[in-house]
Amino acid sequence: MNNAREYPSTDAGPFPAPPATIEDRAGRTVELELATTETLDGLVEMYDAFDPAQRAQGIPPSDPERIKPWVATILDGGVHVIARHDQSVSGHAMLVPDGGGAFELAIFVLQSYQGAGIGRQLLEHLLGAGEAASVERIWLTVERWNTPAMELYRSVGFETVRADRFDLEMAMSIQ
Amino acid sequence: MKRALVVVEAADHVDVHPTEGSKEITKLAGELAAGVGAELVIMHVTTEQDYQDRHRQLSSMEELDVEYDVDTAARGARQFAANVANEVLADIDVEVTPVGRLGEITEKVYSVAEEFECDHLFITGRRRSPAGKAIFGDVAQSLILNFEGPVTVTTA
Repeated sequence: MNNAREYPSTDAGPFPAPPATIEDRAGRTVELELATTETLDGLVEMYDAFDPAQRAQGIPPSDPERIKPWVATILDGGVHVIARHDQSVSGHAMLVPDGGGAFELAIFVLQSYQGAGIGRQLLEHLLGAGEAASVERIWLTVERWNTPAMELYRSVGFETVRADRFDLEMAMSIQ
Repeated sequence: MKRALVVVEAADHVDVHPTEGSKEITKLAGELAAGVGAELVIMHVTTEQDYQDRHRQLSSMEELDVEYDVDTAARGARQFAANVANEVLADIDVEVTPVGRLGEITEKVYSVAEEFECDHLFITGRRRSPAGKAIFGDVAQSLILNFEGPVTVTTA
């Protein structure tokens, strides 16, 4: 990505940091915690179970054999927060370093856990973990049809910074 | 598809090695063209910036006494396209015309497509974001929106 991206001049936050225990709208107790390399298998399991119809912009990979290498690559750096319920991973939010001093945000919530408020909690705790890790600038791309995701991003402080591409680009500043 | 245009890119700034994506899309286009009896035009565009850089470097080596001008650059670009075709399409029965141009890529793609009456465009234009998302580059996006015909884009 190019470095010409503009970031909002006002910082958003502060945000809650993990670990945290929350109850979702379906009454499930969900743990939000930082991922470690030991989380790799749990994450692979979650992405294996992910509904292919909900893949966005090519991830998670459609080829099952490419899921583990992809997860291993992104887990190698950045900030990762997972949602855990009944010992299995039900959500994953990440800040991946872009090599230019900023971080790309991506978030996935397993289908059976969607619509219960986990996404917002996961997102806020990821931003809190980002603050703790001295992350300052965050961006993401989102498909134009994905209004619910855009609304969620906007509600935590993201602003649309580029709208002239196929995928909308949003950015935020924290700290 | 009667005549498809394939745009190949170099992995370096001296037009020596093609990108893996360029080789893959050339093979894909070759197989599809062979299947329907279509022809291929394989083109490479050397950018003005790369041309200027090379020109400066070569003129600074006076003892070499090489002539590197606009025509040499275009011939080099054509040779690059021909090399990719030779390497990738050796086992595929398809008629190939290599083309080289110097200048701005989208502009040259349109002029070559018109000149050779190409009805299908093959480009490598999707990049991977740090998180692994497939994202269209600006060139790919512009070509997809403006090319008059089907455009096949692969992930680089």
